[in-house]
Amino acid sequence: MKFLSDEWIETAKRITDEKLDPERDLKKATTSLLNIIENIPPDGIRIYFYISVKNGKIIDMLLDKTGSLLDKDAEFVVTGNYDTFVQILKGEMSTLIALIKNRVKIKGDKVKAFKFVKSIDKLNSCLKEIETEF
Amino acid sequence: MTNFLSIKTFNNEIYINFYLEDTILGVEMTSHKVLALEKTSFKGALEIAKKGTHCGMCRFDFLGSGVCPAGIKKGFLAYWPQGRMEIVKQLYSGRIKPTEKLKDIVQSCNLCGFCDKQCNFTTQLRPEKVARALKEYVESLNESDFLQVPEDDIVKGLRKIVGEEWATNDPVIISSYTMTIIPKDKELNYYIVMPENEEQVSKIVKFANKNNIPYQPRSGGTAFSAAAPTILVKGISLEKGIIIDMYRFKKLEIHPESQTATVGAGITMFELQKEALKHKLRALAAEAGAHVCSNILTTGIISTWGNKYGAFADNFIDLTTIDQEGNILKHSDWERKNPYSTEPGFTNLCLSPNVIVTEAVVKLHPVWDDEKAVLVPFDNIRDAYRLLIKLGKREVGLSLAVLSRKYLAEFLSPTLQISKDFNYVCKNFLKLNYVVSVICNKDEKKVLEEMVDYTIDEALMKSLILGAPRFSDLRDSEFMKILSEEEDPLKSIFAGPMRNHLEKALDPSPENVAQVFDKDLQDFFKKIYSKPEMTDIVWLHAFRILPTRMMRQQMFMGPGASMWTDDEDHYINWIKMFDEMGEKYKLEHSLGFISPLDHGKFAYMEYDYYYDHNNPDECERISKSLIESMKKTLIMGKGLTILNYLFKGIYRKEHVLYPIPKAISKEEEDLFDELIDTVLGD
Repeated sequence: MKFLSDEWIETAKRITDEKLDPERDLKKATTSLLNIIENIPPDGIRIYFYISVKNGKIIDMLLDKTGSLLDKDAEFVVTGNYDTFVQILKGEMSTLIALIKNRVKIKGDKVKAFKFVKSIDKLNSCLKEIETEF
Repeated sequence: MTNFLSIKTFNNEIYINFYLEDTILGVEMTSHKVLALEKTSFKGALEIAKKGTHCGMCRFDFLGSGVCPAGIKKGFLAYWPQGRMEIVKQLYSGRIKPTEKLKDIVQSCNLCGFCDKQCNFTTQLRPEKVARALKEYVESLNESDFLQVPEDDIVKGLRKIVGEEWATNDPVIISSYTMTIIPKDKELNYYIVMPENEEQVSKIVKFANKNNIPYQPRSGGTAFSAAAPTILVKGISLEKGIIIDMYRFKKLEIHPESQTATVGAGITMFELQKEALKHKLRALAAEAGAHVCSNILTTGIISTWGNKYGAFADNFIDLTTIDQEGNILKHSDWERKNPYSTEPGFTNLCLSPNVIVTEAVVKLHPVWDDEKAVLVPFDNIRDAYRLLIKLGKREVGLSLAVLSRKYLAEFLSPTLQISKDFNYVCKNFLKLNYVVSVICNKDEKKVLEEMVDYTIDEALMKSLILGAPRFSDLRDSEFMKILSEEEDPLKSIFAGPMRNHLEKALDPSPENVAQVFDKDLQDFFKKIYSKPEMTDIVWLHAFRILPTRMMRQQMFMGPGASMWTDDEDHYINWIKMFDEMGEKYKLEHSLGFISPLDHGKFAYMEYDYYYDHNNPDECERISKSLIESMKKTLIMGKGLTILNYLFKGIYRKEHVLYPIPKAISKEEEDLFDELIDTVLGD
């Protein structure tokens, strides 16, 4: 299914709910993350992908093209190119490597973000299981 | 299992190219005479190429002996001696196959031998032999052996921006960038583009973003080459995408009235220093081959002149940068958001530049007629450190540093073996372990001489340079045995009656030092060592052509830190920690240098681990020592490791060095472990 399509999001919700352990994988965290994915082919559009986690349980996964998710005031905002997010999702690059290579920019408390980064990679490896067409 | 690939003729001899288990082993010939010659040539070429460390000294004229004409004309690394060496390695390993461009690469080389002179001075290698072997190999191939590389849409787009000849997707050219931005084990999924102005860079960045292709700028690539064989490669390298080679940014203008220079990103420190000196001016200088703009960006130019001339954003009055959206920005734009600050703390880790610096307007400083070099020898680090910091705080001297014995030995010795013997003599007989090296005016010289018992003057330093081979020979001499029994051998040799004996024993002359080089290069080196600057310690400090000798046929990694100087014990403990790390991981190791910064309040220290970049086991040990030493530096506090201020050179030193970092907590230590595991672990 097409990456970041409505169908993909629904599958992502289901698969993360099934496979991620709130304590082991998401460290019982309560936080929110807004990914701003830029230069999406073919037209170079921008997509906002919002994830909200409460006590290690993903409670929201939302997509938007208008920027309305900015109003959610996410604790962390991660911005980067489409290809970078694809590489992260495919497991070719960790979120942290993307960060220290300046491939993504992060807004928010960095120490807290770094603590959460392993959980993000767990989430991504879970999403990797979805048969995705990039 | 051997699979023969092709049989052909060249110069009436039959060649057989063969693959063994998918690895090209070389070119053999059936004629016994040529077989022997050719075997040596190709194998010898490969051995030379493997020892190369990509120091980049073949790309500028540091000896006044000429520079590779093909490289100047064509630009791409493949056309330079270091690139040809890399291509031989890549062909041999089977990573690349010959392409049409390879013909052009070998034809462009006229075997002028400039590279042999330059490379031999620093590394004792002979890259011309590699070029010759590559030429002979290519000439032995059939037309059908050369791959045609089709132009794809990306290279078409890049060529629209920079012109037909300055962008390529040719695998042979791309492979020449291995170890200086491309990891050795990555697929060659790259493009090389060589823009000549910031508008082109801006367009390339926008083009890359639009097409979702990562990109990274490259200047000299030397810093990368030191990190490439280690675990750092993952963070520092470009995994695929567009390499923006900045070589064509050759603008260099000196403005004597404002004592500044406009410097393009393709200009090396040596080139800037040479032009500045024509106006009796001097730039804050990193190593000769370092590129000015990238060095500013990477580390803010760490130099022994830093206490007087500054560090980080002190170095420039303006920068032209291209940001990640492709916007062209100048630091002098008064309306822009503060470009001089950066967030503090260990989480501010950055292993790639977040902007591309295309041009800098750097500060220059006057060169005085009465400048002198004075070296003060020490047997222990604590006393050397005390003197250095005292001088730094009192702002005595233009250039200030503690140099280790190992540094002295590497710099002054024309060959690797002589450097080892030189080091041995200093350690075991003279107890000369450190020198405080000071470049100062004549008044400061008097002040310094009143502070210490004795010094090594310029005349004796000149003798040590021209007499280095003889000095090393003294390791088995009676003279040294007698000297070592003196109560203070340093005083006896540098300020006592033994000095004259030493001068005599050294028999210093350009002829003598030239004799250690290959026979066909001896006349050349006699002329080189006859040049006044080759024994002028002030010139050598400013032009820094000697530090590359640390990379002769081996690699070094110099983790370091800028540390608060007020706690002397703490500082010494840092050095001990690096020393213990070297012992633990069985690496050749030594303090490199210490230089004060910011009126002596901080001092930068480089601690060097030397390793064989062709030995995977040593590379692994280097990697472990890097991670462990970085963690320990964070735990110890009061200092910033090099990894913490990589790519922060464009910021004010006040924002990089302050607040003085505290030792990290246990919780942060655990987080660091987790980060390292995530970033570098596999």
